[in-house]
Amino acid sequence: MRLKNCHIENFGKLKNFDYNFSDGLNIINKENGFGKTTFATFIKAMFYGLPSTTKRNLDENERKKYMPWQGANFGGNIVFEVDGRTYKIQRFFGKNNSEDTFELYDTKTGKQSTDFSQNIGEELFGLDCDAFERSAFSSQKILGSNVNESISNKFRNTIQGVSEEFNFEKAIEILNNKRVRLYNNKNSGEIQSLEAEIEKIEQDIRDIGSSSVKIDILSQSIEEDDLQIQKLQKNIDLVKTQIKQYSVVQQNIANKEMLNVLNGQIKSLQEQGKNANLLLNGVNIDEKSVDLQILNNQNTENKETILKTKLEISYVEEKNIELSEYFKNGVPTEDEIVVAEKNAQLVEKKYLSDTNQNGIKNGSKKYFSLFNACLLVLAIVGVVLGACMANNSLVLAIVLIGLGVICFLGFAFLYFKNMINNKFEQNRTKIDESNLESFEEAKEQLKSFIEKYENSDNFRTALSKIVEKKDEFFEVKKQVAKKEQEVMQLKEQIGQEKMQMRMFLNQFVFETGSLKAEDKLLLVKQAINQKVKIQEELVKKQNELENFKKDKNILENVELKGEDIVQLQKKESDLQRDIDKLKEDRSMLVSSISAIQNELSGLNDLEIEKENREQKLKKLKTELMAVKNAKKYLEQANESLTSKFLQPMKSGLKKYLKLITGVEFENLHLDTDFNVSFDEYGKIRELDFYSKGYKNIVDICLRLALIDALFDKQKPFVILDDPFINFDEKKVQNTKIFLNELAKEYQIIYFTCHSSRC
Amino acid sequence: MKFIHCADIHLDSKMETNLPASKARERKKEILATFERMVEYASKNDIRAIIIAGDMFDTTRIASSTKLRILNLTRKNSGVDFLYLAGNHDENNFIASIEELPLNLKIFGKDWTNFVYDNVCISGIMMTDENCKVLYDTINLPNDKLNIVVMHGQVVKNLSKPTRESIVLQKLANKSINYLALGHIHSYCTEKLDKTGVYAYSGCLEGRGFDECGEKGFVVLETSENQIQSRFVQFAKRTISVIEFDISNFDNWFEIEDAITQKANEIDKNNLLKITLTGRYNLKMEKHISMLEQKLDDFYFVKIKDQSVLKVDVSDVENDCSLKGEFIRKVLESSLSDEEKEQTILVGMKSLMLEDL
Repeated sequence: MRLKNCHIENFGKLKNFDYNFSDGLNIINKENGFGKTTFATFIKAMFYGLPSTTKRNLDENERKKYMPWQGANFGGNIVFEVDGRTYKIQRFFGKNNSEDTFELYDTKTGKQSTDFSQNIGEELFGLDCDAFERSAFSSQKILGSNVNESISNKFRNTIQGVSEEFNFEKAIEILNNKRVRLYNNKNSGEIQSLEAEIEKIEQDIRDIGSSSVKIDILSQSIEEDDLQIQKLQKNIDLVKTQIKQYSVVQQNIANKEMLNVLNGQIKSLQEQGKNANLLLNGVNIDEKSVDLQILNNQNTENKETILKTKLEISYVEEKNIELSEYFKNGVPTEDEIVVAEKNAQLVEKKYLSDTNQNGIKNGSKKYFSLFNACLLVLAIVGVVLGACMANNSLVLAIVLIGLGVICFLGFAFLYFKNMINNKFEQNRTKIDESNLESFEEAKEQLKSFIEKYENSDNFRTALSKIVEKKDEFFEVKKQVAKKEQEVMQLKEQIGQEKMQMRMFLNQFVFETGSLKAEDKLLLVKQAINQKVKIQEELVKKQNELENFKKDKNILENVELKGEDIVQLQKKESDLQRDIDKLKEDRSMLVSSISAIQNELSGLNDLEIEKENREQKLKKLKTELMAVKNAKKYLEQANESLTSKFLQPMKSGLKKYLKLITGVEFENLHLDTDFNVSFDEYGKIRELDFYSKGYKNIVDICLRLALIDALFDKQKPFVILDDPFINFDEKKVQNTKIFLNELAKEYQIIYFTCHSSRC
Repeated sequence: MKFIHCADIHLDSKMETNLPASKARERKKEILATFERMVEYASKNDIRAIIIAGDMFDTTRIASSTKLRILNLTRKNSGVDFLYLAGNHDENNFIASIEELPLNLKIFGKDWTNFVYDNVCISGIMMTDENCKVLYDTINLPNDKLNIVVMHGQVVKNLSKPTRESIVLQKLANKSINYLALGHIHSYCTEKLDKTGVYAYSGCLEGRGFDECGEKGFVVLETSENQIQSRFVQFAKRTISVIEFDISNFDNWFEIEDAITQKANEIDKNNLLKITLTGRYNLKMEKHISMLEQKLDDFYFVKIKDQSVLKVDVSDVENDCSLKGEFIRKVLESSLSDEEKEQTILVGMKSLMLEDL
């Protein structure tokens, strides 16, 4: 293919820049700062575009490095010819890939072409951008930048797609180290350690797991025991049935006996009931009624006692006799008593009057005169002293005079009263003298009255006694009358009650007729009690009998057959012992299973440990596999690349060396590491023994050989960025010839900053 | 009257979530604790019986402490009956190792066994190779009662040769079954059995593996005069969640990490979380799986499974004449499996870039 021309709208420092390419050698002789690298990058960008990256370093971020500041159109176009057709690529770039535009025109028709996509670089040259950059484009990076770097390293790196150190060997070293860490001959690799751990866990699991088989055996034994127990249980059930039957028969006999006992008891009760019924004579009476009759009887008896008491001569009656004797001359009437009383008062009054008259006259007068005289003296003294004290103490004088006045007033009162009494006494004496005759008469009447009853001179005491006796006599009379009435009533009541009692008792039949009512009543009560008690007992027994008959299901014809109870019980005991023994055995088996199950439950942890390690092991093995494979395929790739490029590059190197130097290098050697050496008289001389200029020649020849080897699809244009800067004049002349020769095969874009190298 | 239908407790069983041993032990205890909580729930909510439709234990491994706890729990809650059906994992080892069964622990045998509670008849059968073909003919349910039937196995619509693990629904239809209580499937589901009856798997009480995601618990059955109402009760202490994440459309790992973290934040931290990376990624993508695991460390347990595939084929490197291109071409053209190719390329590329492996 051939570049025809290009137009740069804006790309880095180049603005509105056009360039027409010639078919062969294009020498662009510009001073430093013109923008040679910018121009070269533009050409590459037209075919491969610009990568999108977020890297800040401008050398690593071409989009950012060459983007115009003012936001003008970023890009341009390039016209090229390939396989007889001419196309124009027009690309403009944005901030990232999505803003980029790509258009391809067929210049003949002027229409857009779809012969190539925006990956036109790869489609044309069969190489990606990196490979293109490393070979046809970035010549200065390969040849000029670091003269000290060994040529072989540079070419290996170029082929292997790495830019710094030789990475294949380091990559292999890293892979080897990793492999050894994972798995090694000393059995200390991570995989080997893990495998050992897993094996140990597996052994533990096997050891414990073997117990699980025992569970099946033990379970089998349990099942056998269960079967045996079932069998024995059936036997024991049979024996128990026989024992039960035996006991049923025995029970039946016992029941029958019990039935007889109950019947006898009922009969006996019925007999006892007869006696009571005989006495009660079919009278339907309850105990309460009899109790009432007993109470009535007691009442009647009490009444008889009272009557008896009442019939005895009492104090009242004795008193009645005594008072009747006292009043044998008749009981004084009320009028007689009143007259006697009047007479007595009259006698008394006369007696008292005589006695008082003498006493008062003498005594009172004497005392009165003395007291009056004292009062008069005190009155005078008080007034005199008061008058005397008037000058010293007016208050005392007033008090004394006041007291004197009070004493005087007392004196005056007593004086006048005495005068009035004396006058009255004189009048009464005149009246008494007129009544003297009637007094004597009264005294005689009184005396005669008293003598009927009493022999006493003291008429007052005798009169009181007569009145008292009279009152008592009346009272006694009343009481005697009352008692007589009561006795009559009592006799009547007792008679009635006894009649009723006899009627009541006549209902019953007593063996002995001479019993008291009280005793008969007790017998009736006893008979009632007995009857009730027997009745209750009889009902109870009859119920008991009925229930017994109902419960016991008494069979009539049951006999004892077969083994006796002792033999059966022994048989049962023996069987039970066997069952217990088997159950004990089963219990031990169950415990053993539990113990094993318990032990087995620990397997979970071990299995988890094992699984986790196995997962890790699987991961490590995958890693080991990947490491081994990576090493294998890296070595294969390296070998493939080497073999792919070694022979073509050796031929190319000889061809280009001859073009530059005019010498056939038959003694040239190129090893698999792209080390160049020469065989001089049977001795191999490394390139390092040669001059720097010579090395540069080898460099450029190797690079061109590489282009030959890489671009088998389409011969590219070759950009040479001042590669002969270290050449001496003679070699520069040869390179001019070389370039012209090279231009016959490739379109050369040769940048130089010095005309001497044009 | 109320009943609980549960199954597949798998007490003392091994965890399937690749948990570290200590967490696996803890989780095992949690399963036992959840079972105990369920019994407590039954006691407090007047549940007459707990129907255990198989696989209460796993294989032969029953720790004595677990057995003792279960027996004590059974005896302690004497008001609740435990109707126990052995499943395909139980093999009756639990029953075999009990000396004396508590009165309220009742076992479904190898023949149809009925337990009657007022107007409810609960029938169950332990399926064996011997009875699995004939059990459909021997079932005999009372017509005047509500019938609950208990079985353990995988339902199949129809099967000419039934096995001990298959339950042929067609053969159980129109047999007066009101509720078919099943065990074996570890997630709750319910479907119609016939015109009047339904069948249901209660699922397990706690998820044990990442294939046992979602809500776990038991079914409460409430019977009335002529019908049975059922409702699922979510009861697990932790659920297992899975996030499937396609990384194809992401340019760099950090965006992936952010997106996954955001998704994970919607999930309860007490849960067990599995993240599966899917899709295709290119060679430039550097994955930091262990860092993502570290970031999600606040979950009870996190597992990241990378199933994403390296996006590279021969056409991608056909114009790359470098060692890298040649290496990738060689690997892609090799007879290695896709996974091996991916691993090999990744390791090779890392070594070429002198990265530590």
